[in-house]
Amino acid sequence: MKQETKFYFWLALRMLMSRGSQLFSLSGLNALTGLILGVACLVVSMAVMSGFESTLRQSVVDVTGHIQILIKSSSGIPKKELVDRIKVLEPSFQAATRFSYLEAVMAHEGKISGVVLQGLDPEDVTQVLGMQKRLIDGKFQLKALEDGKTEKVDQALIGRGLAAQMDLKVGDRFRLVLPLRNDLDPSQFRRKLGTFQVSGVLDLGKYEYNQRMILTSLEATQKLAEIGDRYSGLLLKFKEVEKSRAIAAKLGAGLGSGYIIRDWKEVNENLFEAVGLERVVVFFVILVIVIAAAFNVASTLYVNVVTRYSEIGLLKSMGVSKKRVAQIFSFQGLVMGFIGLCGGLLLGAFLCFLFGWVESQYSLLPGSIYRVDRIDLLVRPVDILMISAATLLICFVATLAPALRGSSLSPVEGLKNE
Amino acid sequence: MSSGTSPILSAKRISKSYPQGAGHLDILKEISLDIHHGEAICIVGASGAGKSTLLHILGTLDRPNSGELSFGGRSLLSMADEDLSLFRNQEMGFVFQFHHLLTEFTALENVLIPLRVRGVSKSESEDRAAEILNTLGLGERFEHFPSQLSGGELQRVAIARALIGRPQILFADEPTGNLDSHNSAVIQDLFFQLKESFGLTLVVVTHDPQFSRKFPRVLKMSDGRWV
Repeated sequence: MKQETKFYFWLALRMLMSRGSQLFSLSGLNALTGLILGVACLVVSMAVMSGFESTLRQSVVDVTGHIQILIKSSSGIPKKELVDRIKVLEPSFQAATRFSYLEAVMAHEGKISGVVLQGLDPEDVTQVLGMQKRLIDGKFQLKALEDGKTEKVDQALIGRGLAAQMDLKVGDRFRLVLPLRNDLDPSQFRRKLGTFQVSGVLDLGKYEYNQRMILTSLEATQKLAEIGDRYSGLLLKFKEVEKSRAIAAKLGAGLGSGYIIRDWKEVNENLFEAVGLERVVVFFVILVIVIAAAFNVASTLYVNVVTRYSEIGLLKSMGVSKKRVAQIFSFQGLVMGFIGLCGGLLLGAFLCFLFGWVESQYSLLPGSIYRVDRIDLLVRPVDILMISAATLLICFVATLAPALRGSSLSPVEGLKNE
Repeated sequence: MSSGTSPILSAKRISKSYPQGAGHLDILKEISLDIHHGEAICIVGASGAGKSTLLHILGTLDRPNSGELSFGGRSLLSMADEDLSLFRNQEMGFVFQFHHLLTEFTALENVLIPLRVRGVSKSESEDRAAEILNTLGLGERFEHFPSQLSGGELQRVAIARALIGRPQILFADEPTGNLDSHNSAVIQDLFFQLKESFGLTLVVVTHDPQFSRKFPRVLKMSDGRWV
């Protein structure tokens, strides 16, 4: 850095940090407090939005995998054959598991509820999905228990919302009613009943999943739906979840028209788009607080300029140019912005911590409204970068007017202000 | 108001007026002045005669409504702000009635500012500021803030600041106007000593007849004109 530039930074800082500076006046401290609060609001709101999106994404990925392939034809295709084709098309393939998907009605102790029954292959489900870590009670058991003494009962994992709604605990049995096509009269359905035992309760993250999802073995669903060894499709896992969309497009083109291929985001496209849009809206709405606070900073700086007329005149008499005077006051504005930003980031981080603690003690989010039962706040570096850049830019722009006022002052005008 | 040799600073037909009501108030009326290298000029006159305004215009701190101002043949009124600021930093020094020191800076820091503005390094600026403060008898006051200095000391620090950049011309506007008689006499003598040792051209505005009598060239102003 040039000697001259170093000097102006030093001069600006010394003038700003001096005891008589407006920074330490009531209005200066108020302006800084406003800025700190505005930045803290931005940090918390962005952490909530990012946490919401991340919680939602993890929940969807844990339940549906990175990519879902639905087989259109009813004839079925062996898993190995389909996986071999996928491996050729996408080398980042890691694992696949078969699944079947049924809609049914659950009945238990006089209560009924519409549910989604997902049959999964117990052999390889944990390689693809993250269900196991979502177990909050019981065992991660999909296969029917066979101990030779008791009758063989299909095991099921249920969402915690459903468990609460139907008053089900681990070890309880419940019945499912499945409508099947009546081959004799296609206009009618016939009922198929199945009995399951709760092996575990899952917290699936997303409200709808917790309220409706039942997981069992693929074999149990095949038996219940009378579909032999056919299955609905494959759930796939690849190296990088972020590339899912591009991989899905590649698989779609490579596998042909016999399959419906959706990545994790597409499964909940509207929801993720809404969350993304909401994040942008929230950012700009709360940014208004920062803008208002930045203009308070500008007012403080303006008073600082006015009270320093004689110093400005003196500096000009010593050869400080208009441009340099403007730089001195702009730099002061940026320093105030930086102090407010740092304070705001620290306060925001503290509030995020506090939010997490309160959330762990009390249920803050009604899942029926927010789609998730809890949010793990996520402070992303990119959010901090955006907040910092926006705050400093706003402070710089807001302090231009007082800086230009100072620079336009004639030396004599300043010197007369003793 | 000129002599035979080529002037270092030349003002020709300088006029300055300020708006007042529907009309304007004339402060300087086509005033001319040539200042030669090494001269010591004193401008005297009643309050409101236009002395300070003329000094400010000669020192490029203010602009006239009309007229010409040149330094070594170079027109000063047509210079861009950046160039004029650099010129002022290198060629001119100012001492005012009030010391105008930056209150949150020490004596040493106040004095070194003109050098730092010019881009001189911190260590060199500090060495030169210490040297000139020692010369002016303020060797024990480097780290003192203006609030800790007496009136005479403040004005000596202001003089040190004006001279540290080795200007060609030193302008002083009522430099003793705020001092008691003892300090006033000390500062008056200091100006002439420094003029000789620094090879300065000195332009001083004063009300003090005792001070003005020490100058070889005294110019009197009245109502914006020489008398």
